[in-house]
Amino acid sequence: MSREEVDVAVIGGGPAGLAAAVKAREAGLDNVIVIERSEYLGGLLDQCIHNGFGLFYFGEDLTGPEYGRRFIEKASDLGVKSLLNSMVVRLSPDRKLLISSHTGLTSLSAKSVVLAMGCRERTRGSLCLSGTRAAGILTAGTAQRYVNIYGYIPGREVVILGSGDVGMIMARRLTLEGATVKAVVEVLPYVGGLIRNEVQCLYDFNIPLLLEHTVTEIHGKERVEAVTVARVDKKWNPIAGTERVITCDTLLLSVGLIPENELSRSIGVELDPVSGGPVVDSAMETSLSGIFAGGNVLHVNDLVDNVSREAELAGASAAAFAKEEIKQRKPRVRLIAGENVRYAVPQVVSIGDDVTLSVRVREPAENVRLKVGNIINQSLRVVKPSQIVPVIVTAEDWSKINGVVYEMLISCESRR
Amino acid sequence: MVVGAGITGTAIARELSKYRVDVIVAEKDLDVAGGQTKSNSGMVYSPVGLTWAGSLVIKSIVDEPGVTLLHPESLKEKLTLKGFNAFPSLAQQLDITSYTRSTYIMIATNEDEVRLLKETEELCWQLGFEPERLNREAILAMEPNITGKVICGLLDSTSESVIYPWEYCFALMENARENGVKILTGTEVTAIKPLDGGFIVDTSRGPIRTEYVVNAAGIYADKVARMAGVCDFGFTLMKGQTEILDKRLKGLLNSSIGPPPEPGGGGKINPLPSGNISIGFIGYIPTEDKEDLSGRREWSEMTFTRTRELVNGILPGDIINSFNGIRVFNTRNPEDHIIEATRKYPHFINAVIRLPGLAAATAIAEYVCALLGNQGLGLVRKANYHPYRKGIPKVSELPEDERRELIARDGRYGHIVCRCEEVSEGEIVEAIRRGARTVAAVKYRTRAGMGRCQGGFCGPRVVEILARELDIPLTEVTQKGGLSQVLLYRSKELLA
Repeated sequence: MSREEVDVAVIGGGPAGLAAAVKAREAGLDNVIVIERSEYLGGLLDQCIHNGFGLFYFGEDLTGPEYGRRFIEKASDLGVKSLLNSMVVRLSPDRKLLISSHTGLTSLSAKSVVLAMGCRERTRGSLCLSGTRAAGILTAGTAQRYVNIYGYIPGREVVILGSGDVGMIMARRLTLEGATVKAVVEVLPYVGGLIRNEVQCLYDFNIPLLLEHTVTEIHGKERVEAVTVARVDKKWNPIAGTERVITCDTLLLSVGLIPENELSRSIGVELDPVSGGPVVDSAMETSLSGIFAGGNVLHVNDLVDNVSREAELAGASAAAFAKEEIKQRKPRVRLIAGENVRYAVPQVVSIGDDVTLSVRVREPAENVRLKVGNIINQSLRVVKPSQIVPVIVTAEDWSKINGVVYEMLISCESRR
Repeated sequence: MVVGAGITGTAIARELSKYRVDVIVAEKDLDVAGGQTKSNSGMVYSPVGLTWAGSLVIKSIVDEPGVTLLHPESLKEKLTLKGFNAFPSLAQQLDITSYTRSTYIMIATNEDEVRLLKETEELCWQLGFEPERLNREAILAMEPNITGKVICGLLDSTSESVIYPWEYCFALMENARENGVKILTGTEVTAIKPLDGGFIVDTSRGPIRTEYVVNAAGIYADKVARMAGVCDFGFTLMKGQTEILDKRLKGLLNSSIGPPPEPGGGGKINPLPSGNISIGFIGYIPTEDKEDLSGRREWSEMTFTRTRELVNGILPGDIINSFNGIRVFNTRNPEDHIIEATRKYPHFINAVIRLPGLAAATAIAEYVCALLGNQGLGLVRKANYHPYRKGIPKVSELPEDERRELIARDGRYGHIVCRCEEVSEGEIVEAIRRGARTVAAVKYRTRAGMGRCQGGFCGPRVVEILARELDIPLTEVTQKGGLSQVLLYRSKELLA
């Protein structure tokens, strides 16, 4: 059976996949293909009809569809090919793909592959929430699709568990649609998403934010009728006596996103248990040669601008690999998360490479020193888990390395 | 009329469909398999085995103290053995693709458990079954991911298998329908009035005249029997909870494993045919409320902790969902089924099943048919009865060439809707054609929404396909019938 040959196959046509494909095409490769499982390119951007996209990448304040449109048009102008309603059902470590669509099963062989499958939302099941399994419990992103793409509203009275960005944005969106958002309930002492969303979506619309609270019970046989919320202690255990019942017909969940790496796992790509995505080097190459990754499949970004930036690097590197450009073998160091650092991507860096590290901290802190081994030592006024800290490492920084180094600690130390 | 379309009701309906008899099944839910049939471990096991011995110990909490655990002459034991032995060929006839033979290792990790293990072994011998003794090394050789705490164990490799119980029920229902049975879903029986040796059964869809009633209403069998004035039993209800783990763990275990049982306490870690693992350590919480299928976070946590004490490699975040079920014990004889023509109205047959009912279902059905025959129902074989049923094709499991062929015939089989479980639009449309009316009904027939994202992505698409195929507005699509609409309003409707 015939197998079509391509230069670069990009799995996923969201912001990451598009940015990677554009870069690969710009690097001069003729045959760059994006494989997208839904009916249009742009991924989740089309349902993100709010603004706030592109402030860094374009220096403009765009809506999700506008941001997506720019990349879709660029990809189209450059002659990037795309397969829509097409899902990669099998991938092999030697970069052979099997794609399922209405028209049949297509086999592709790619010189290099970019993984750009994005992420998914944590669900009620994984939270083990107590209570009934009534209808009306859905993730914030699913609700966003219903409201913004389908034009339907899940319910009239809404409680939102978790204060991730999508949850806060849906709090505002549902309020604008005439629903009442009775509370946003967050177990932490601070919101999970960006400050701008806390201000523009919650405060500006007088939506109650219950910090250090959680939902302890869901009520309602067929459809949600109410939830019980309670204050929690420092270990997130509900405090007896603080429970109260909030009537509602809908419970939205905005409790975290998980990189979607089922394909990566199926071919044995090494995954970082903390970031949830592949371990990559400074070229965004995974542990498997010729297989690159970029965007939220790698780790959950705060802004789409960072998704585009990371994925562009993945696309450029995939192009270089496909062109068989000889990579200079450089000594590499592995970054180890130290004080108040959850993870840093890339996890493995070639000494001497210009690289931007995406660093995610564990807890909010003020007046910290961010250190990477002995080569970076910079002060930052505020760090928050909701915001990626970009750390730029240049040749000059690398020159401070002395001796042979295999590992470097990356830490975010509070001044005491 | 058969009341109830769980595993017992559908098995009876299929059995009756072999004969020239008019059969109607009334089911209150919008789908079959909604009660206990859905909410159990899916184990099909023989009374000559380790699980049976274990369950005798666990379930002894509902017995009077001092009652013997063994009931060799019980109807339950006889029918289960018969059903278990017939199961492999039945699974083939009905294309039950989840049917998988399995092994069970009961393991002890401390001295107390070693003692309990010994007691279970002796019980096995009394059942006429000799489990294989395994030492620590043998267990770890078979199951390298069991933790090093294991001391010894018992192996049973002959007496069990696992299925998706709802798949079995759908198969029985479809085959019964194919052979002329009318299945009325969304039809709740509200009153039963005896009349001229038969009955007028009032239902939510109007009265139905029938000569015989078979009460297979599961957890509501007492209610239905009471309607006819033939209820001489009550129910003791015990609630349980099971967690489902991510498919990523496929291959972690080859066998079911669990600690030795104690009265009211036991636990089993079951690798499922799909690659998920089900874990259950909460099985016997007394409850009064038949509708109480709510879950408890602390039970999930306890179950997860117990599992991780026994098996390595399971991480926080591996739980993708949990479900609750209710076990029913009749108060007249908690150890056995009540399957009999009632004394007051011999044309009213109670089929009140004591767990386990899966393996026994077809044997129970034959037994009920015989009872009906004794009561004068003419059982004349149909010439054109055909026992075979084909399941919905599963693209993810088809060999590549067959998958290509299927897509060439119908492009919708190429369009993947549920990414986690790789379920195509074609499968969903076929499920609806076979009677699925709700999101849950589609899920149980196709696995769409059963994976790790729990319908986060495919949920809206399934709702859309249901609305399109059933030609109803999106706001009428329900999760599982009744008032469980997924979407309550159209955009801007709340602003009016």
